[in-house]
Amino acid sequence: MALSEVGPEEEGVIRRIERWPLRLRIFLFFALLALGGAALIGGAAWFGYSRLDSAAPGAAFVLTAITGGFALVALTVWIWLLFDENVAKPVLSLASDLRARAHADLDSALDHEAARYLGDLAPAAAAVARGLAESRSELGAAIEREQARLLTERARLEAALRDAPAACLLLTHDHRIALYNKQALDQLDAGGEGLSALGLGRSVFELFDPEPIRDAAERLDRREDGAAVDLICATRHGERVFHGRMRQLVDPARAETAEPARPSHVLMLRDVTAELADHAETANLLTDVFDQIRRPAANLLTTIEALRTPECAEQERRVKLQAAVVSETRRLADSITDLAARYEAGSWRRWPQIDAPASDLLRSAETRLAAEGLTVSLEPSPLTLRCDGFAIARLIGDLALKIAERGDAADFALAVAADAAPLSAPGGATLDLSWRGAPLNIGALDAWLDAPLGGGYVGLTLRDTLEAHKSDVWPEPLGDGRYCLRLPLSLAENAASLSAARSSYADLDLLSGLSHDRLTACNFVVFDTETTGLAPNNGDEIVQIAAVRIVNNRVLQDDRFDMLVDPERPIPASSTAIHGVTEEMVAGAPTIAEAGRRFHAFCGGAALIAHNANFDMAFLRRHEPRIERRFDQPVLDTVLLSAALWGKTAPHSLDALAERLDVTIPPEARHTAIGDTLATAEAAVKMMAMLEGRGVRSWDELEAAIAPYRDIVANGANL
Amino acid sequence: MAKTVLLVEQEDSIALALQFLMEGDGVVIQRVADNAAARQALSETTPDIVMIDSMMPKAGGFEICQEIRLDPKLAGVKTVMLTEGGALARRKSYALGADDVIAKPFARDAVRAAMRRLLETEAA
Repeated sequence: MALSEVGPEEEGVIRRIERWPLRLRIFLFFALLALGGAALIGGAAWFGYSRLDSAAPGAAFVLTAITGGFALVALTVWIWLLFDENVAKPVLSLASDLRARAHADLDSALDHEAARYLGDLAPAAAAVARGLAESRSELGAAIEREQARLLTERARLEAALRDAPAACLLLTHDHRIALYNKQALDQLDAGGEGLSALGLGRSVFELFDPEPIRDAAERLDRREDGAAVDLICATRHGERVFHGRMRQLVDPARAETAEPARPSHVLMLRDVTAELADHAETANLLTDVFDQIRRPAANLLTTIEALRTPECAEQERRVKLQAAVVSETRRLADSITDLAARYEAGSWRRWPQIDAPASDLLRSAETRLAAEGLTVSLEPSPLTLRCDGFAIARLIGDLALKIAERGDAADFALAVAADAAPLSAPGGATLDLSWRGAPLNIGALDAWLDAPLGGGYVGLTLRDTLEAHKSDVWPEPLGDGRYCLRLPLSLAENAASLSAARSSYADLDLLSGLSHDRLTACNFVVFDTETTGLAPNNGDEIVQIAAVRIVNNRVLQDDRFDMLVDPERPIPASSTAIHGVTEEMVAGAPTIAEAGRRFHAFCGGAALIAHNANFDMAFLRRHEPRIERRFDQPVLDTVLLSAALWGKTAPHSLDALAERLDVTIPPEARHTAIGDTLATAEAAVKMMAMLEGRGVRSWDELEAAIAPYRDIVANGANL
Repeated sequence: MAKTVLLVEQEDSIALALQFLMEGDGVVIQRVADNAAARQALSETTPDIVMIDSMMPKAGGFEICQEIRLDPKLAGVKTVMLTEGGALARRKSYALGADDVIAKPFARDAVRAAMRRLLETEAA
């Protein structure tokens, strides 16, 4: 019906029509209606007149009226269709496009094609859009400057918190995490593979037993002096214990308003699991020391006393008692050996509870020696040691200076090497100071150890420093005229704790107390699954699940989940061709039971979003009994969001959506679970901003907005 | 010919016990109580084995052990450290050239086993 469906020979005519002014074209519609109507009435009158029957002239009038009436209705309908196709629909589409530009940052030009019969309206709308884009970019530049300043401040704050020695969490009034630092990530992140419950916008109760934290918050509410309260809290499964200190965060802007205070909190945490265990271990050991030594010692004394009595002159008795002495002594010796071994293996560590990167330690020693005029070469080391790096660097530096003073050594080098085989405490690595020249007598070395360490460690000798580290130092020949001083040190427990760097540690907007019922303030998990086929109820299975989190309508690129799943059935080549997941790749991957549990844990309480959510949910819901979890949170479908914005007839495939919303999916990422997930997330964020611009702010309003379109996803269209 | 052992041990009671133990196995023992006496003895005779108490004052027996290893004339001498520490002292002993380490308190069998090991390797 549209005028665009015409042959090439008529294009010239259309060009001319396009150039007519809008008023002329609308006048022509009505002129056509008027003239057409008049002509039809004339034609009908003539038709009636030609059938005039003098016997019943009334019938001719009726015929005229009926013919004229039908023809007029037909003409009006035709002209209305023309009007609808070429005026009404383009106006709506233009309006929708303008709205998209008003609420989402679309930079592409407006589509003129549909609105070409609207005269100047399309160019005018395009000018508005351009103007908007320009003023936006000017405003944007100003905002960007201001934001850059804020970001710098925030980065400083985050840097300060990152290096704070304790794990730190900022909690919203409803106990969601608005900020965490590096220590929190190291200590609370249960490990990769999406098991982590630590993430922005997520409830702190996914990490900890709720009682102690709620109790502390209540205690804080009752106090008015702004002091902090202490608490002891265990992780959800009780495997770690933390000592915490909680304080209210008072927002100065809000303190003056009458609004009821819903304070956010700052929670500093220290892992005391090891300390508590050490304490228990030490107490046990002490008890055992007394227990295991007191008895044989007492027995020994009694037996020896008995040996000295005159009754024991008899040979047989003496032999028996002597045997008893031997057995008790052996028991005593065995006990001491056993207790000493336990003491040495004890995991309690004393003063140096610090992790020191080996490279820092080496550089610190090098700098000090350079100041004293001694050059040492360093071997770079990726290891992290558990020691007081500064004290150890001073110690090895002092020893290097003493060796250099003798004048028979040159070519000094410092290195930290991991032990080839794991050794008992302290163990894991050695700090080696090597040189070319004469060997070092251990007697001389021993004398040096009585010198004070200095550098602020008042009253501490080198020997004390070694003992505090449960370590020792000795010379060893290296061959080729080289010798070294070797100092064993413990490796930091999680030396590989270079946990995947996350860029989003904080979302301070969470603290500003955005109303939780606002849609864009909700916490979402966007996900996508890849499967063996399209029939969830006919044996097809999931082969991959990917997800990413949205907090405060921001996609947290780093807070993602990506896991291959063993479908426990073959993967058809036709499916592998789409998503690239092969049977080799899923061999050894967790089954849906385990993967589903991990995914459920990743979701926490967040609402789910997926493109064609019914499809993905069908797979998950079918396995709920095996997963032993229920996916009963709200589920949003981006197809429905798209329909609510652009109507039922617009294409709603992910590609179409991405194109409309300027979301780029790298070709290699399309049809990978994580690639589609990220694209869906970007699209969802933009669409929710647009819906909010149309006044859709709450869940209820959203429900009402998408309700008319439910039927388009019911039949699984838009795959 | 009987094997000779130089025992560098500060504590009389242990020295006496070790002496009785090893003499019963037909070994000739010479006992000294400190590093100076040990150096003197080593300059006069070359024993098969030197058994050293690691816990003497200062660097203690480790010094004698290191000196024996650094002296080419004593290359054939085996050294045994008697330690009271655990893994660290054991590691240090081997690093300084000990051929064997016996942890105190020790049983008679442990000493005999160590002696056998050392004398066998020497014979080999």
